[in-house]
Amino acid sequence: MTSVPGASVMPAAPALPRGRRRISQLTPVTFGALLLLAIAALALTQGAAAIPARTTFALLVDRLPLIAVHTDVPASWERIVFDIRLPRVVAAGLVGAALSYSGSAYQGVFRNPLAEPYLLGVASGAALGAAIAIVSPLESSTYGVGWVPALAFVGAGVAVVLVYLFARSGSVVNNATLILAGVALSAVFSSVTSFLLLTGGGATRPILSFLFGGFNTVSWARIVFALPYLAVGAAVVAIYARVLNVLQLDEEQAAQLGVDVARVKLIVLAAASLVAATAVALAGVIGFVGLIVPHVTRMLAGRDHRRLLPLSALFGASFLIAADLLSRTVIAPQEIPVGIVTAIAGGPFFLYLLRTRGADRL
Amino acid sequence: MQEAQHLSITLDFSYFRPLRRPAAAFTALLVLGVLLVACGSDSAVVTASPTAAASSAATGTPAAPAEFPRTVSGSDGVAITLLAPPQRIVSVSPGATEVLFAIGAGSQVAAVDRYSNYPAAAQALPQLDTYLDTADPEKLLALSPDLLVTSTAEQAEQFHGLGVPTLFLAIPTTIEGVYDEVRLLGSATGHDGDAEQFVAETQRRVDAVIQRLSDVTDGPVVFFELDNTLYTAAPGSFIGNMLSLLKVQNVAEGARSPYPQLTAEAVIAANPEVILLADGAYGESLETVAARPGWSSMSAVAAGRVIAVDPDLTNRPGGRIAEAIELLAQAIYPDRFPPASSAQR
Repeated sequence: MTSVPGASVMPAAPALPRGRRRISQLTPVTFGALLLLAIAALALTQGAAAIPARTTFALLVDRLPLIAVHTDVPASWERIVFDIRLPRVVAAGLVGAALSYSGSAYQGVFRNPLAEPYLLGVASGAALGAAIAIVSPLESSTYGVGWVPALAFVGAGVAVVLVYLFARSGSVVNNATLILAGVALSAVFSSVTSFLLLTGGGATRPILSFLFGGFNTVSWARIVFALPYLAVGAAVVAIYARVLNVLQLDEEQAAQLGVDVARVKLIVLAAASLVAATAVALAGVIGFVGLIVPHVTRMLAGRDHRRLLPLSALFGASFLIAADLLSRTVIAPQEIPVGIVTAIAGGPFFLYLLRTRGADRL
Repeated sequence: MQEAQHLSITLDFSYFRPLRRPAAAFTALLVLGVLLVACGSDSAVVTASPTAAASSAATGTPAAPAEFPRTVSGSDGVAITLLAPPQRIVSVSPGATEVLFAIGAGSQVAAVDRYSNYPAAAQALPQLDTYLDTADPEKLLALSPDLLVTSTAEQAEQFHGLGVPTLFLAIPTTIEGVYDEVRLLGSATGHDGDAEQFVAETQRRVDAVIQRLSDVTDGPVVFFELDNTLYTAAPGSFIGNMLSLLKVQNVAEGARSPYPQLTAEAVIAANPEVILLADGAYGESLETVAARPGWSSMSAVAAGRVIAVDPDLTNRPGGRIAEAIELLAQAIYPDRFPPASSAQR
C-alpha cells in the first residue's frame, strides 16, 4: 500500500450487483440507526450520579408533548438528565457523526486511506484559535458560545483556506501538494500553540482540555450554534455523493466522464472542512474517529458513497457516544479525556477488522 | 582521577585511524572542560549519595545551629555541603521564596523566578524567565548562585551536574511537609532559630483555626475549582490537605490523582454547599457559575456561597499557609470566623 496521494489506492468499481444493492441499501442503515438508539439510551441512563434508569426515562417521556408522567425526584436529577447528560449525548453523537462523515468525504476525495478530517489543518488551526482566545484577555465563557469556540472555528477556516491557497497553482490542485501543505501548516500552527501553552501560565489547563477534546463543558447553546453549519456542510457533501463514486476512478477518467475534478474537490473539501471545523469548535480536538470509522463502515458496507456517508455518520455517532460514556464513568467522579478512550477502545477493534477482513478492502 | 585513566584508553584507539584524531581531541577537551566546571565550585562540595535518599528533609538539620560548614540534603537525597551561609541564593520556587523571606533570609536572596511575586521585596529582585517551571539555565548560571532552590527535578539534576549547590524541594502536599521545608531552608541559610519560630507561630495559628472547629463532625460539601473545565484539588494535594483539616466534604474525594478533572455530573450530584473559585482572576464568578447548565439549582449557587479565593495564597505551599487556612476557614464557616476577628496578627 502506498501513501502517495493521488495514486489510486482503492480499486475502482463501486457498482454492485443490481438486485443485491436494493436490499442491502436499506438494512445497514436501519441497523446503524438501531445501534445508535440503543447506545444513546444506555448512555442516558449511566453516569456519576446514581439515577435509576426508569426515573431517567420517566423524566424524558414526561417532557414529550401530551404525555405527563408523575415523577417525584430531587431537582438536581432533572438538571443532570436535561442539562448534563442529554446535551452530552447529543453533542457526542453530532461530533462523532460529523468527524466520520467528513472523514469519509476526505478519503473519497483523496482516495488515500490515511486521509482524515484534520488533514488540511482543521485541528491545528482550531487549537491555535482556541489557545489565542484562552490566553488573551477576551472574556472566556467555556460553557456558552464564547470566544473559545468562535476563534477555534475561525482558526480552522483560516488554516484550510491557507493550505488551499498554498497548494493551488493556476486552476490545478494536486492532491500531494495539498496534503504536504496541510502537514506543514499544521506543524507551524501546532508549534505556536505549544509555545502559548508553555508561556501561558495559569491558562495551561484549559488549552490542554481543548487539545484532548471532550464534552464535559458542552451546553445546549453551543449545540444550537453548531447545528446550521453541520447541516449545510453535510448537505453539500451529500449532493456530491454520486460524483465521489465517479472520482474513485482515475481523476483523468473522471474528467473524461464530464466531472470538473478541480471544482468538485474544492466544493467537497470546503463542505467537509466546515463540518469538521464545527465539530472541533464544539468539542475540541478528538482524534481517531474521523480516520477509523469511515474504514470500518467501508469494510462492512462497501464503497458506494450514497450509503457510505450516512452510515459513517450513524456509526461515528454511536462510537463517540459510547467512548464518551466510558470517559465519564470508568473512574467517576473523575473524567478521562475522550480522545484517550477513542484510541484505546477503537484501536484493537480496528486491528481485528484489518486482520479478519483483510487490508485489501481498505 | 578514574575518569582521566579511562580517557587515556579512549585516546589510545585513535591511531588506528588518523581521521579520528580531531574528534578524539575535541572529546578530550570537552571532558576536561566538564571536569573543570565540576571542580570549579569552591564554596561547596557536591556529593551525590543515593543511599541518603531515604533520609528525610528534616534530618538534615545539624544539632548546633549557625555553624558552617554543614551538610543538608533536599528531597532528592543529594547531600550538599555549604562552607558558609549562602549569600547569593537563587530561588526558582515561589513557595520557597516566600519561606526564605519569612525566616529572615530574604537579604541573602539574589534572584527569583518570574512567578515569585510575594513578598514585595522579592518582586524588586532580578527575575528569571520560566518555561514549564524551569528557569532559563544560562541566566541562572550567569548569576553564579551559591545556593539554588528549585522544585523542578530536571533542573535540580542539571545544576547538580554543573556543580552548583542545589537544594531540590519537592512541592509539599501537606502542611507538615511545609514545616519540614521551612526547617530545611532554615538550616541551609543559617536561620535555624527563625525557622523554628516561624513553624511554631504558624502551628499556633493553624491550631487556633482547627480548635474552633472541634465540635464540627460533618463540614459542608465543598468544590474547589482550579479552572472552568472542572479541574479541582483532591485530598492528596496541598489544598486538599487544608480542606481536610477544615473538616469539609471534598467533592473530589475518591479521585485518583491529586488534581483531577471532575465530570460535571458528579459535581452537580454532590450538590456542593460552598464553591471556592481559584480561577476568579480568569473571569469566573457567582454569575458565570450560575449561568452554567445545571448549576443554577445547586445549594452553593442558590445561597450565593460561590467565593473567589486568591490562588497565590491557597495553591502555594509557602510562607503564608496560616493566612491561607484562615482565609479558607472564613470562606467556608463565615459564622464561626467573622471577618473582623480573623484579621489577626
